[in-house]
Amino acid sequence: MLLVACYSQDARQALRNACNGHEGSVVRRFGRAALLRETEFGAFLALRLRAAHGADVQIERTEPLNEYAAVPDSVRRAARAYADRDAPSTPYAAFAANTDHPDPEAMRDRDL
Amino acid sequence: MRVAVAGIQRSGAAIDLRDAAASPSVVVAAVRDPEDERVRCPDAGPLHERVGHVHAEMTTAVRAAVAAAARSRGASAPEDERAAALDAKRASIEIPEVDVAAARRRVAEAGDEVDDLREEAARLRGQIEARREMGADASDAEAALADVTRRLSEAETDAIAAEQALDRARQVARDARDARERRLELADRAANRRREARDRLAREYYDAFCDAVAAVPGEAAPGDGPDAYEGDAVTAALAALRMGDVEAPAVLACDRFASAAAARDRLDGPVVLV
Repeated sequence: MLLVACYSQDARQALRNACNGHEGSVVRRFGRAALLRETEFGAFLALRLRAAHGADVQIERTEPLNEYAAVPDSVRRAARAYADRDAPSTPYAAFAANTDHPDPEAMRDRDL
Repeated sequence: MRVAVAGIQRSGAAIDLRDAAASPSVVVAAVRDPEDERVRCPDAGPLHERVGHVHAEMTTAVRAAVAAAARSRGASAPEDERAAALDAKRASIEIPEVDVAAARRRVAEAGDEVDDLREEAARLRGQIEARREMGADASDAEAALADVTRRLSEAETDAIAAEQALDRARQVARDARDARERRLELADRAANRRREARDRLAREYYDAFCDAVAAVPGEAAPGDGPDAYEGDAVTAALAALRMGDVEAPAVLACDRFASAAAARDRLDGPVVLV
C-alpha cells in the first residue's frame, strides 16, 4: 500500500479531497494521512499531491506484516508474555532479565 | 468609486448597472482586484470577501459574517494576540533543505545501469561459450566482456554510493518532517484560536447583527445567537453589510432595493446594483 502523510494544512485538505473523490483507491484514512491502494492510480494520486505540495507530502510504500513469517518466534512469544504480565509497572528490560525472552537492546540491533 | 464596464462609465457611492449588460461576477472580481481598472474603489476586505456579492444562490455563514462585520468595525478578540504569537513561532521554524527526489532518482538510474550491464555481461559470456564450442575466435567478445565487466564494477560502486546518499538524504528528510510537523501543529493551534475569536465576536456582536436584520429588507428571525438564525442567506448578508463598515462597494444582484441610493442608505455603504 502507499502511505501518504501530510505536513501542512493545504496538503491535508488536498488529501481529504482526493480521498473523498476517489474512495475506491483509499484503503484507510487517518486524519492527515491515508493508505492508498498500490495501483498506478494510487501512485498518481500520491504523486499529484506531492507535485502540488512538495515536501509537505510524504509517500512511503508499506506492506502488511506477517509476524509468523517475518518475526522470530522468540520475539512473538516475548510480546505475548509481556502483554500478559502480572505486574503492569514492570518495564520490559526487567521482565526479560533472567528469562529466555530476548534482551531489548539486542532486539534493537537486529533488523527483521 | 468609478465604474467602467460594458461601455458604461459611472461614478458615485450608489451605482445602478441593472440597465447595462454587466455580468455580476465580472463586477465583483473587478471590485476585489485593486489592479482592475474597470472598478476603481477602496480595497475590499474580509467582510467583502464573505458577503460583498449578494445574490439568490449565495450561502452565508452567519457566525463568520457577524465576526467579519465586527472586525470591520475595529473589533478584536483576546485570542488574536495568541494566534499572532503562534504564527510568529511557526514562521521562525526553519526547515532543513533536502532533495530526496534527486537521490531517489539517482538510486533508480544506478540500479538500472547495473541491471543493463549484468544482462550485457551474461549475453557476452554466452556468446564466448558458443564461439569456443564452435572452435571460432572469441577474442572480440572476450575484449567486450572485459570492458563490460569493468563498467559493471564502476556502476556497482556508483549504485552503492547512491544508496548511501539516499540514506543520508532520508535522514535529513526525517528531521525536516519533525520541523514540518511542529509547524503544522502550530498552524492548527493558531486556527483554533482564530475560531475561538470568531465565535466570541459573533456572540458579542450578535445584538448589533439582529438590529441590522430588522433594518434591511427580507424576512428573518435571528434568534438569540448565530446558531439560532432562521432566514435566508441574502438577508443575513445584507444585515452583515449594514452592521459592518465596508469601503469597497457591495455588489447587489438581489432585487431587494428599488434604487441604488436606497440600498446605499440602508446598507450605509457604497453599492453597485447589477
